[in-house]
Amino acid sequence: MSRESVEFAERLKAARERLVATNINDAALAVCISGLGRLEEALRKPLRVVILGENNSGKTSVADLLIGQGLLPTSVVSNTHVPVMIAHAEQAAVYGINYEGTRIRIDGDDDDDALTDLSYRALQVFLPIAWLRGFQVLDTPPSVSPAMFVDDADIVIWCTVSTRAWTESERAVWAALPARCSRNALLVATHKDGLDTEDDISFVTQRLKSLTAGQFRDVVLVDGESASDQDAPSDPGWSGADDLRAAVSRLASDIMDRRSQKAEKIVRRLARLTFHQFAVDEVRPEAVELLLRWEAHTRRLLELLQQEQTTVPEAIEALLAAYAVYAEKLRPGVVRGDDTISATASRALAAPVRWPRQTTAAARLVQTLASDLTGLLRMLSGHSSFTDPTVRAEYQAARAIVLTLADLDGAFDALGRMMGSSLVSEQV
Amino acid sequence: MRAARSGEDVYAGRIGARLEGLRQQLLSCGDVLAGLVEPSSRPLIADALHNLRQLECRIAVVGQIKSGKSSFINALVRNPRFLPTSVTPWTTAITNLHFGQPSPGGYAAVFTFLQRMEWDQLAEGSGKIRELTERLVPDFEPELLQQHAEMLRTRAKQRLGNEFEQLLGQAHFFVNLEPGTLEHYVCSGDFAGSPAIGKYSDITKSADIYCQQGPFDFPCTIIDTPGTNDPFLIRDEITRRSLGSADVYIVVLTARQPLSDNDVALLRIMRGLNKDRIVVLINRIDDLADLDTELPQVVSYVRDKLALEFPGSNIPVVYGSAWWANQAVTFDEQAAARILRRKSSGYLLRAGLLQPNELGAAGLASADARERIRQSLFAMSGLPAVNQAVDTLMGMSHPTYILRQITRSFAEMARACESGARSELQILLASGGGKREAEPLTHEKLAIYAQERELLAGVATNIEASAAGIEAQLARIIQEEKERLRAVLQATIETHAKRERDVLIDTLSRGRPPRVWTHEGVELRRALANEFRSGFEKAAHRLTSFHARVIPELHKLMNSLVPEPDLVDPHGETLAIPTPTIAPLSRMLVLDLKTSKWWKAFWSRQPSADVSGAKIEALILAEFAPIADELVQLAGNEFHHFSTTTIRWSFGACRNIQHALKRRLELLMADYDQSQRPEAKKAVQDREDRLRTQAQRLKDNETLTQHLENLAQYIDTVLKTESVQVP
Repeated sequence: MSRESVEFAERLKAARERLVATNINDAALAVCISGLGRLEEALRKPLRVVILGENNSGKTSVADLLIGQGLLPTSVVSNTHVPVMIAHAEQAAVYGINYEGTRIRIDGDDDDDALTDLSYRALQVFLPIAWLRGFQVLDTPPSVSPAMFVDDADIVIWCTVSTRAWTESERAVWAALPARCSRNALLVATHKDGLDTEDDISFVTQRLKSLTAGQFRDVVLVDGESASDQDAPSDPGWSGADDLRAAVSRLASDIMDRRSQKAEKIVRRLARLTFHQFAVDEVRPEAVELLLRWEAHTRRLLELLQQEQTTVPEAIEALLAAYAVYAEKLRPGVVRGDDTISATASRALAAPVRWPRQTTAAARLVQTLASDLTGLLRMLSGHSSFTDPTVRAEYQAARAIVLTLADLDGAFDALGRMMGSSLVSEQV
Repeated sequence: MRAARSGEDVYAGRIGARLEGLRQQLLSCGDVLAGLVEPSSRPLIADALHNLRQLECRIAVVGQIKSGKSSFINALVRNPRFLPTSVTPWTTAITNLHFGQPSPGGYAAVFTFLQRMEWDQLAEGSGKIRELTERLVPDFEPELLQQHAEMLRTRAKQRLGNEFEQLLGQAHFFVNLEPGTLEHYVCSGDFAGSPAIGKYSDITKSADIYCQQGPFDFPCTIIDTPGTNDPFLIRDEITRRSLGSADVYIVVLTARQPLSDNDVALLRIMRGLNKDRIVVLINRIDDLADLDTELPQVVSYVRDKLALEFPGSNIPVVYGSAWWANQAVTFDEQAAARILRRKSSGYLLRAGLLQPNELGAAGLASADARERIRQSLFAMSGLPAVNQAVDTLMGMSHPTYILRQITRSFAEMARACESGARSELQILLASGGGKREAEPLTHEKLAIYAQERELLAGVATNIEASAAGIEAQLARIIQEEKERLRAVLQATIETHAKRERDVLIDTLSRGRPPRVWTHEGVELRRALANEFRSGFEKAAHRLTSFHARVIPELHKLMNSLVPEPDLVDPHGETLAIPTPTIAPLSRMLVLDLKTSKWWKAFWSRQPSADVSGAKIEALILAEFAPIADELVQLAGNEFHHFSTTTIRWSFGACRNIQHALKRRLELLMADYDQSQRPEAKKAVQDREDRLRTQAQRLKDNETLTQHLENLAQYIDTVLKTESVQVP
């Protein structure tokens, strides 16, 4: 997991905790808090590693290598009859899911018998292993349609036997899986011990890479049995367990990066929605006319943009300038001096952002900005129904946090900071 | 091609020794018989002798890629470096190894290249599959095949340059096969360092190697095939095409992944060919880490699954390690080290076949120890058991059927000859003891001879008329049976197609997507196979029972020639007609295409559920009709072969008696004419000589008949009981 994504999760957590601490009973904020909570959860959720492969392709041995313990029963004739989920828990436990869907704890004195018992639909193995905090492993039975196992897979591992790696039937099954499986997939060639020389290993690796180009992120050769075998070659790297874990970690960190990027976008939208919700306050009578004029002004700007009579940066600059004027009128002293605005705005506009060229996309961007600014102006034009100054202060704080969260987009970064700080610094 | 090394005797199991014994005996019996029969019957004998000399057993080694087919063959011929092997799929061409057969032109190896048309088919995208996709979705380009075809084209061009154009349709001949030559023709060469490896492999269609030595006593051809389940689809297709022509199949599995779905699919095809001809070899047991517990599991898993998939088939299962066998052949210190490196070595040590202390340099220094180890290793490799199983299967294969048929035909002819010879002797004896004084009887005698000759002519006409009649009747029966068989198969296909149409229309009209419908190709093939078998059996029964009814008629005819009570065929039952291959059923059809994008393209072109249904019905009918035709044709060929051989030989035997008697009568009449002349003294002498010769001839003939009958009995009893006893 990359450092950035870890930091992002931490930041989210801090913001959420501060919001919770504001002690405000507000529906919009509650939605925001629970939304943030869910995102955090999603970011912290262990990645699901699904292990697929034909009969006796060494799936269970690969699961074993990942976990790093000789815990799962392996035997030569296909013996994983049901899917086995391996996850983290402080206390080791084995559960069977029977055909009624009931979960029954089955680890007793003779767990090996229980593990291969056919009367369960699925098995769950919980182990107190640190690695499992970040990953959940699904060891699958050989199946004609493994598609059923990959629905919620983050990483897919396809096991193939080194001495007969990548056959037509494997290719066909793999090709039939949803295309997204290939994005985070590893091809693991098991039973490496069947290859006698380094040349053989390199032939097989080359062949696999060339035949499966574009279908897997990496090819790893492993020898599952040597890990638990005392007579095995003394070279500690031989089993390939380290290579395997490293390859899985690389995929995991890519996934986490993508995940946090996605989460960032969601947080931004969530925060924006929240402060728009805050803005639906009662408007002071004298402010109504100003707001109507502001809205007419933005409409006109958007029309000009649509007719291509103005550019996106120009439109934004005009919006920001107008915003400064209206904000100052609604609550004098909010914007301290014209120079602040123009300087910040131009700095924001100078940021290396590729402005959308298409009119509709540009219009949408400006529209978003306009509605954000409208939200801010409405907040300025409302009169707080809270007479209690502490509650009001709490609200101020919450707004500031939400605005910070909403603030993560590059071009609006400076802009948002400026507006957020001006709101926070304002003394009512 | 030095296959055998020292210590030959310990590598137990020559293959086909009994069949070869039979063949040799029949060859010499045929020579004797040719000297006994009338000149008119000689071509018949010559034909049979020719067939005997050409007779061979074709043994195909099939299996998935990397199951160790080539390595197994190397172990079989005891030359680990004979067929090239590698860790990646390697064999690209069908390789025929001929044993005990003279090579045409005296060449040691012949490599035949693809014809221009065949190459074009392949290079345009895997011929068959490309053709199939074209039929399903015209103008739809499957990328994968395009990719393969492109790869093939550029690689061939790169490897062969301009030479390539001239090579198509040609062949390369080698008087001596140097080590390494094969690698240029039958190996893919992918990922190999040397550019010479696989140089010609893209355009090599087949290789024919003529081996001087091997484990076979009977003439055999071992067919090494490219593995099935190859993601490079072209090789898969080459193998499928080669499956129909063998007499015995060795299906090679790997111990690590025994009897996977692909193996079962392959076996289904094999079983279609003929279940009695398969032996399953679980190879690469040296890959197993814990042989003591895993091996029994694997073997019983394979046995159970075979029993489940093919109830009542009793396919023999043997297991072993070609790798061990090959290590045994070239056993030295390095081989010992290689064996020890594998986890499976523990098994050899525990079994007591290897002593840990022997495997060190000191232990191996002793020639005795070395020899003992290699013998044990060879025994453990399972090769002797494989030889045994193949030998047993050969006893039930087509060559054995041919041997049996020739034995019977020879015996029949020999009996007829014997009857003729006996009658001749009687005629000679009856020709009056040569009393020259019996002048008054002259005219009487001449009249009797003339009468007998007329009688014989009458019988000859009878024989010919009867033969023509029976042949016509047989032809009619065969025609009728073929029609009936065709109708039954056609009806099965039509019923199936209708049902599939209805199911599809029903699926679509419920608003479900067409992909939930899949064609039940296996079901239809199974139904067709069953219909074909039972139809064939019925037809064969009708033919054989017709033949059984003809036999007494023939005997009546013979009796009218040579009134003898003992002419009755001691083996009353007629020879069964062997079931032909149903290989056409295994042909890949449009409907077998699994890749969903082709189907998606197909569905997207159909405007409505009814149209889709009709299209599918038409597609099933169109795809299966040629298969039904081909099956009927194959059955027809078997019927025809049966009718021509049995009837030809039976009437041949009849004619032989008639010709013999006719010749004898003419001789007597000529004698008589001569005896009327003054210098007739010599004739008496001649007659006595003739009597002696004829008596000797009869004696020889009796011996031959007895011998042939013993042989027939041997084949019928020994081989038949063996086929029942196969575990």
